[in-house]
Amino acid sequence: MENVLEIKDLRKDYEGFTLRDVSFSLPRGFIMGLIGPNGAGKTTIIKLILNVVKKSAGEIKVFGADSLENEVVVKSRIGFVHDTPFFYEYLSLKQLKATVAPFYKNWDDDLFHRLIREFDLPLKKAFSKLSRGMKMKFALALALSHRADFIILDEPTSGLDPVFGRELLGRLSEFIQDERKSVLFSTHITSDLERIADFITFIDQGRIVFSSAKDEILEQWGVVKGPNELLSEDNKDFFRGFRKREFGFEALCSSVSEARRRFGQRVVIEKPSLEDIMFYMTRRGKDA
Amino acid sequence: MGSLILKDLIFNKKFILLIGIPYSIYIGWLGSKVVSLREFTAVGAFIICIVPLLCYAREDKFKGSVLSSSLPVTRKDIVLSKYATSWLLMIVFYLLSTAVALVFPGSKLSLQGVLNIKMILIYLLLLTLFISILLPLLIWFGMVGSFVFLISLQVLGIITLWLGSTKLTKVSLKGLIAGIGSFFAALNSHLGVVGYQIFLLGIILLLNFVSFKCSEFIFKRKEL
Repeated sequence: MENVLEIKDLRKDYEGFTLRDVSFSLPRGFIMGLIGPNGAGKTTIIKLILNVVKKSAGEIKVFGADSLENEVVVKSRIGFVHDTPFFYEYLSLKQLKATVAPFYKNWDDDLFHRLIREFDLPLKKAFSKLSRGMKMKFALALALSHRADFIILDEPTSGLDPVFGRELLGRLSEFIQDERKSVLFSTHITSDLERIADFITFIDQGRIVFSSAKDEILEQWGVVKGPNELLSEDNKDFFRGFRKREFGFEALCSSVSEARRRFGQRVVIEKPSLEDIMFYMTRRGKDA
Repeated sequence: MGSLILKDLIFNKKFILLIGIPYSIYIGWLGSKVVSLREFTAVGAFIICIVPLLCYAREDKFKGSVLSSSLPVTRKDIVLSKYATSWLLMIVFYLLSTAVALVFPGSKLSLQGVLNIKMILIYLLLLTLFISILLPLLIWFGMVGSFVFLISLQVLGIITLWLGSTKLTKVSLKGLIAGIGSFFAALNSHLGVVGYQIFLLGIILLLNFVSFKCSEFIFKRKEL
């Protein structure tokens, strides 16, 4: 399978924070969710892909080519939506479009105007006068209008109402319909991803915890609920994270079959949500 | 690079129209009042080079560099476009201010005095000196950082002058300036008119090239 994005041993050193040993890949035609708590390093990874910040070490390949050596070609096929859209606030949407469109050979003005109509955006209005949701819609319209092969979105639904979230997810699902386009979507709102993501990469404290197919994770992992007597040191090590309560414990395990073998009928095993996984994984080894 | 220049011009359209052009007219009006061509050249060049720098300082406010760096261009292109846009604006403002200085009623400047190759080269050299120092600083430190740096230099200059006046050191600013003046005068007589003009043009190109390379070095390593 051809990869649209390949990251290998990526490292970025900041004072007080290091993103290290980051390796994962996204096959063409799929949506990958980049999840993790705030400050985990999601935005840093996206900024590194776009060369907005400089890597300390490692390799980033986009469309099979080094993202720095082939920067212009690579970026001309990427559509981006930053967490905070960095546009000149007092310019109208029409003026902003006029500044961005000339950079892309494949710019499709008809598509842009269709998206503007569908998103109900006022072209003559200043960017600063738009709500956050409208700003994100405009950034998305720009990202889609040059017929990009790869869309990168950094926390696009953060702080927005669920209606916009649904609309955005619908758009992204439509976007990958031809199986040639791909999406990398960073978020800490995991419910967004449960609907559309094919792959999940989970990052915490600057390290990749796992990067796998979503269905594989949700099938193999489980939330185990049982009496506290079962929480031996060995079992605690087996769990990826656990929470001890007065009347029993809840824990996350990465192998449902192993949990069944260990505990049999003494526990209840439920399918986890991505939120469960994120919750327990960020509290590994601690009694949450 | 054309797209980057266009982007910068659209982003700064209001600023150029509302600040840059009136400022150039003001300099032109001021120039029409002064007798000294040297003063008009020096003050005009300094003020004119500030306008593009202020445009880029505004970019800091909107984090425009993040947008530019996300677009399909290299960082080298971004720096090159900053120099190209700066020069485009400076030349337009220079022509505008000079035209105003010449046509304003009662102007003491003459067309031959202002628009001859020697004066144009000196003007360009002054613009080059200012922009080739200030633009790398702006890219490096941003507007506030650049001001802090320049004020520090001024303070250092004042201390140097004070030390010179107290005769604690043998630094003589007047002597230094006179020395530079004599050097250029000697060069002029030695190289002849054409040779001297080619020499000035060479310096202008060299300074711009060195400044661009410094800015490129800084910007390529900058975290946005």
